[in-house]
Amino acid sequence: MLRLGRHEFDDAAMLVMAIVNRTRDSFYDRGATYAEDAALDRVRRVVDEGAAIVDVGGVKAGPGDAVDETEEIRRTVGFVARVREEFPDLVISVDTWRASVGREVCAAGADLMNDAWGGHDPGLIEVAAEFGAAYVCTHTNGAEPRRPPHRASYADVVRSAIDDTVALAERAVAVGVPRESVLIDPAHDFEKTTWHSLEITRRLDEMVATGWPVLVSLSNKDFVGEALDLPTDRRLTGTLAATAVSAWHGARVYRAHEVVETKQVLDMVAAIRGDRPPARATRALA
Amino acid sequence: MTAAAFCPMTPLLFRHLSGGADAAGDLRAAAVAAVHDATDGAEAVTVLVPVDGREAPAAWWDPSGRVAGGRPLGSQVGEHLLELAGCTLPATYVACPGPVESRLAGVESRPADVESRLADVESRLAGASPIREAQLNEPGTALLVLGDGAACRRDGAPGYIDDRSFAYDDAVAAALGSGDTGALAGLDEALGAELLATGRLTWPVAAAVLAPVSAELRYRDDPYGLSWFVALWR
Repeated sequence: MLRLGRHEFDDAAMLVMAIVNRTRDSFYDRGATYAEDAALDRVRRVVDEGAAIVDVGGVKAGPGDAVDETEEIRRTVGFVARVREEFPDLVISVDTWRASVGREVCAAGADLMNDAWGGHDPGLIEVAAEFGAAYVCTHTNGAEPRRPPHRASYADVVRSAIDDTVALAERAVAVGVPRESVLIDPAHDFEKTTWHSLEITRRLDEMVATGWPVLVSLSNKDFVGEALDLPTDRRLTGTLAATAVSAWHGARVYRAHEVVETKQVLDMVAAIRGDRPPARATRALA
Repeated sequence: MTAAAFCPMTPLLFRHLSGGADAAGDLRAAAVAAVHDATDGAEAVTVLVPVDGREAPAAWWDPSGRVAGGRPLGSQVGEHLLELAGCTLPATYVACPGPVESRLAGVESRPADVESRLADVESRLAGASPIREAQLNEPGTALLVLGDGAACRRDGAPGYIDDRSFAYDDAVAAALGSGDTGALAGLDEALGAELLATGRLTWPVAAAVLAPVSAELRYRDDPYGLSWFVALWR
């Protein structure tokens, strides 16, 4: 069982986490949902499309506009409250590394702390524990928030991802986050070359074998673009291929820009695995 | 010292690392030619390797076993350039880990056992006897100086944008192109560190032991927001 704040999911469920950026400069949407009303329209659409989770972010992952704590709170807290009010059954995740922001959004109704910078602020775990929120343990190899990777090196990137995220997961449980509310994320592209992210994808079953539910964030990332030599707006097919492989390996949560296509891939892989019956099968059966 | 080649230490000098397309073909050609010219007629080669910080990792591994070993990135690139240039001279690898006055150390080695020798260097860094100028400045010994310029020249660069990169790199290019040892030795070490310029660790060492009569800047570009220079001093 996976418990994300006030919501529970069974162990076979594969969930789409839709990205909702309240930023001006994120690499893919380039500020399309920076305005609060545009972001709320995006939430309505992705819920309609089948997303179980929305991941609200107020700060671009890479270098860009300086966003301090006050500005991040301004971008996220009121918005989380509006989403909570309109969608009581939706899992609300917030992509932040700051405990102070986590505290405010949890009070406003967030269910999940997506700590994209891997425990950089140790207080964020304590906030998750205090509010009964779920927590994502991300592998960033100790990188500073928003610092781009350069000449990253690992003896074994998968081993490093497993060791670091599992250690963080155990710490989260020790601090009081419920065990069924902790996820691990290898963090494709974060402090990684394309070779590293491809290897992480190829060997994702090793992360799944730890028993912790695995979240993957693949959507339109550079490792897809570099593998196929395509710009950000043409990476959907490659993203979906990586999604299918990750689903086959057993990942549970998929952070994505394109919900309909991602959900279709997950449904198809679930059908191939035998976890989900075909929607309508009459071929050669009449 | 017979001659010196100044080359970047980008992993992209390994052809296979950029996958299907060669992301640094021109650079590699220029670097290999400079190494060839610097070592031609020499009896030995000394390789100066930056070892400090994330931009010059002392433990560089390639994913999926494509390059073996856990040696410093700069030593792997240096060895690879010597190999590409067809240079089989005895090579000494000198790790340059920080401010040059206080932390220099080096050992004799040959390419075949560079790995164990560099491990030796690293283990001795703390209390090593300082390398003497005379050790670097043997007659008949060519120098291969690894190091990159500023890495903060645009959105998408390893260090994002720092406008001080441009003047810093211009100064480096001018010094390398004119053989100005004083200018190269006088680069601001702290600024170089902030700009992630790995050459800050090796260029002053080279400047201290070289007295070139001719200098040629053969390549300068920053296609990924990080400056690469190739120069030949004789």
